[in-house]
Amino acid sequence: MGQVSVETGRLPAVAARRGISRQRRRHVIEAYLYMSPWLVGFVALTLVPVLLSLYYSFTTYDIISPEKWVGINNYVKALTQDQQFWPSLAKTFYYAGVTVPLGVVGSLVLALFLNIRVRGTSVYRTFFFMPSLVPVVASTVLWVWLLDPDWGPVNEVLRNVFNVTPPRWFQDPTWAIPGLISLTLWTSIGGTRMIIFLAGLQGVPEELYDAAAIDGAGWWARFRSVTLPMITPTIYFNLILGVIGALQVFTSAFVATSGGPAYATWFYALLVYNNAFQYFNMGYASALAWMFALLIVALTGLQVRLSRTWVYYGGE
Amino acid sequence: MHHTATSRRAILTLLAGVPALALLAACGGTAATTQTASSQTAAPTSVAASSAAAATTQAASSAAQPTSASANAQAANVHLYWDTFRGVGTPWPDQRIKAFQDANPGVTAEMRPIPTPQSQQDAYPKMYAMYASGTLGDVFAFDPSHWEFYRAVPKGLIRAIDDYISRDRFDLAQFYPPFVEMQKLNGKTWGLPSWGWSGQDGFIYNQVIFQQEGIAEPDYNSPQWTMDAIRQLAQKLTKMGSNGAYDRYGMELALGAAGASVYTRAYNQPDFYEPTKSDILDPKVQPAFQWVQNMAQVDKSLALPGGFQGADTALFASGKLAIIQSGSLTAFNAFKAIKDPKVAVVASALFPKRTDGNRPSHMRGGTWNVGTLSKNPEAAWKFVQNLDNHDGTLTFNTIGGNGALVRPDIMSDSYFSLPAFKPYLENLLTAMPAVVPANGRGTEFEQTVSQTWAESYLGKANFQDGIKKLNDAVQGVLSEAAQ
Amino acid sequence: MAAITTPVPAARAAATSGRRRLAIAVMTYGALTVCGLLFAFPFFWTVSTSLKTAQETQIVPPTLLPVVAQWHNYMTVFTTQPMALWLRNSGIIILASLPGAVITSTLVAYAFARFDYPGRGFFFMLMLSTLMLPAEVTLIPQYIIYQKYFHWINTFWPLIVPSWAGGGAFTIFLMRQFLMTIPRDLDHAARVDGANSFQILWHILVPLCRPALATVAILQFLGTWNDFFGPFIYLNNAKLFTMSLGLRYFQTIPETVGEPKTHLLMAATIIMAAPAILLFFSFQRYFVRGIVLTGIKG
Repeated sequence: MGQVSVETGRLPAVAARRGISRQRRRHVIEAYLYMSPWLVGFVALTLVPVLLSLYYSFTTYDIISPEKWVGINNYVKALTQDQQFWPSLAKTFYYAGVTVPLGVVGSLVLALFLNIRVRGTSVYRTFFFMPSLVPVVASTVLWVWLLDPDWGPVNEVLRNVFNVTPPRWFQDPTWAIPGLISLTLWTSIGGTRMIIFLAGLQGVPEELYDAAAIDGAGWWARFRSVTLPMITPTIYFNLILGVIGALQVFTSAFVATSGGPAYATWFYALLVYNNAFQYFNMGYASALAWMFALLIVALTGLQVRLSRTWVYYGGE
Repeated sequence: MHHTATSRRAILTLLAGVPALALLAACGGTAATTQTASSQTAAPTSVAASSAAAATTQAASSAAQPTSASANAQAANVHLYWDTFRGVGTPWPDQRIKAFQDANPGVTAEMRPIPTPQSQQDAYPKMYAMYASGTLGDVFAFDPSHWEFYRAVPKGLIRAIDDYISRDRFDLAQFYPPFVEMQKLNGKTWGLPSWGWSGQDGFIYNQVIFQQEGIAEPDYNSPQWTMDAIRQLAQKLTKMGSNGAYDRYGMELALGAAGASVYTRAYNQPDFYEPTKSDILDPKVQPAFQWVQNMAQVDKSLALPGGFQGADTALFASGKLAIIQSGSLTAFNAFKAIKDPKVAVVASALFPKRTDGNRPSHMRGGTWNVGTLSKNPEAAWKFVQNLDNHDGTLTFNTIGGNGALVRPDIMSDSYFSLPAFKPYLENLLTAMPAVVPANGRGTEFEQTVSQTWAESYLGKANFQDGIKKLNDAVQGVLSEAAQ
Repeated sequence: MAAITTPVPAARAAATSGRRRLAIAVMTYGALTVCGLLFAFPFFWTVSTSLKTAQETQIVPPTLLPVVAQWHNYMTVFTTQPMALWLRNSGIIILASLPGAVITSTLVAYAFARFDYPGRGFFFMLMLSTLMLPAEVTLIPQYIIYQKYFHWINTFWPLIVPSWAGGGAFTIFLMRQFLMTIPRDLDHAARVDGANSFQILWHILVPLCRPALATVAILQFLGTWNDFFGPFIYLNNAKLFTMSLGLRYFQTIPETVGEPKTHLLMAATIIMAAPAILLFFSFQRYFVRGIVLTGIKG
């Protein structure tokens, strides 16, 4: 193999073209080798079911009998005839629009708190993380009681301390989603998102903080000019996955309210689930799922594009 | 650097050794698990635990059968698979299997539990997937009350058993007739009754509250016991606190399609819908919905869904809920939930009689089916009988945790001597079946009613608009094509 | 460190900073404690319920503490149901899938983070897209394929193999973000010394990624440990059930009769959450110590 000069990256003219392309080829081959676990798994396990679900979206299919082709009927039905399609979408975006910003900011604040080296940090960290360790069903049942309109502690406080008539939470279509939002925030702020922020914070080099301190920067200036830029990759990560996760909200609504009352928490994922596994409209559910997936892809693509303006990778 | 090197090596060894272990475990699955299961029996010491241990050993040895059965492919040993979510977590399935195996040497059976995540409805996707991939068992249940019966039968998942019934001269009269009728579709019989009760056709009420308030307990045989009387009773028993809180709810109704059916029938109509048509806007059906609306929005005496979830019996036992529309099952549950008889004592009443002399009801029931994929339908048929005979059905109630009130001959058992249960007996003979949507979309219909009706009784829409919306939604589902 | 370079009159600085530090400390500890208790409440509540009698759990409004702690509930859980078996099965799946997730997500992320090749952008979006299609619609086709072609139904394979294929888009994305924060100068320096791509990964990048690797491990553990739907749909034989399935045995399903089993359910929940909490408690040290040195002077 030709000797590549480190300073100029160029080879003696004759061997240049052959040597560089060989090294480039090796680079590409290695890349695909490293990707192979995912590539192989994707093709073998995921690709076919995904393509099948796309196919089924143009059929009516109930699992136990052969599917019947119906063309774009499912898509038309969703956009024009399904009474719950647009409302579901709206509710899902409402939920995500509140949960994601509050959740990301909340997790970051908690992580910053825990990053301070005080005594017993490991205990505090574990406390904050506990809601994520209790299975969703248990915490949801607990939350439903906390927000019980008549005997739950939250309303007791609102009544006796603040002397107001409190909302009836999961009994009231207007207050059901805020109730769920509070449940989600409580169980997820101290959870994996916070852990990821912690890991990101730990990755910020000490020297940068020292340099800033020498320049006389206070803690807010240090946060704004050192911490924030350095953790933008982590924020970006949490934002993207936060949006994807929030738009797919399902379990809490399923357990707490079964989509009610009066469709109040009938999120899009619930719409898909019910059509797929309760009504066995698998074809229609597939159409719903694909429309949603395309929407999320578009949203994520947008976020990826925008990320080039604000995310700073230390390694580039 | 040295530190990182050693820890990395340690991690490497761990990582390397583990997949090998997992490989071993996954391959040697059956053998290894049988091993663990039998070592389980050494641990427990209490009486209750030893019966569970005996059950585990039994299950362990029957779980070991597949290996030997598949090994001796041509052996006379027949092995049945029983897929269900019923009785999971109780000793009932293992007891039934033992009884069957004792009576049928040469045949073994294995239960494959389906631990449903949230509701019993969730078992069906798995069962359909198993059918589609050819692995559904010999005996299972597509319950009529879950509507899937009406999908599974036409699609060929279930084997009709009329030939066995006539050949063996099996006496269907050993069951209450309504539950036998439930097993029939298109002129054939598709299973034997499993669980069943007459639905939420009555009320349980807290005697202590009635005594405290000085109100006479309901006499459900008297002509004064009308729907209006029930409404007034609920209103009298409701106590409000400050700032919108309730100290006590008067009544909890079953606010869904089944409930609506019962109220419509209480007002002497057949039901609020027909197989292809919604009758909600019929002026003769309106009083049923008006009755609910009055209690919910005018009197505000109803405990509405969305509070302390699924715990109406807990509310009842704590004296916070005076009356619950319920059936015999709820009477049992409430009884078991009561800790302090000074706070709550349960008694029952029924809905007023209709003009035809029967009480309104909306029966719920299940089935045990023989699958069309079964290679041993004969043995499966015997197994179904074993689940359904006197002992099977009785223990289904007493230890299996189900309400299986399908046989007259078990009613004399002391388990049913609960006074609060007695009133429901009369409805078992005259239980009214559900109207089945012609397109088989029962679940969709049920959920649509639940969600859409809520807008009315939660006061989010005025009554006329709300009922119209409900009618349109129900008609929409009933008009859809069959799948 | 900072003290050496601060050019402030020593005495005054010491006094002000001492008072300020005390105030900050009090506020910090106070806030942390209040928040911590608030967050720990669901856990505390679950423990409290697990120590009640069956009927105590039915009281409205619920009581905070049991009248007498029923410690034997935990024994009851083990003796009435094959809990040990379930724990073992969950353990096997975790042990088999955790290394897979950690290893393969790093490998795949390495490709995304450090290599420039045709198709990288496409595959990155494709990988992320796998998170966006609701699982309900691929579940049944996947189930049928698993049964008809791989015969994986009723084995642990469907629960293990996917973690060896990168462990999921979440973990790959996470590792990629972390790898991208590490300056490339280290790579270049190693290349000059003649290292190949794997050596760079193994000797340089991985040690710097310890917080991320620990995070992946924890997330994978939690995901697999609490996974309900996977075991539910793929496992038929009760002997193979995992803890998450087993919990269902303690839930009284609507339309059934029986004593409320909430106390046992909570006890089982705690037993299930305990390893996760312990693991988190011990692992978190790796987040703290992962201080990245840029390794380049001048």
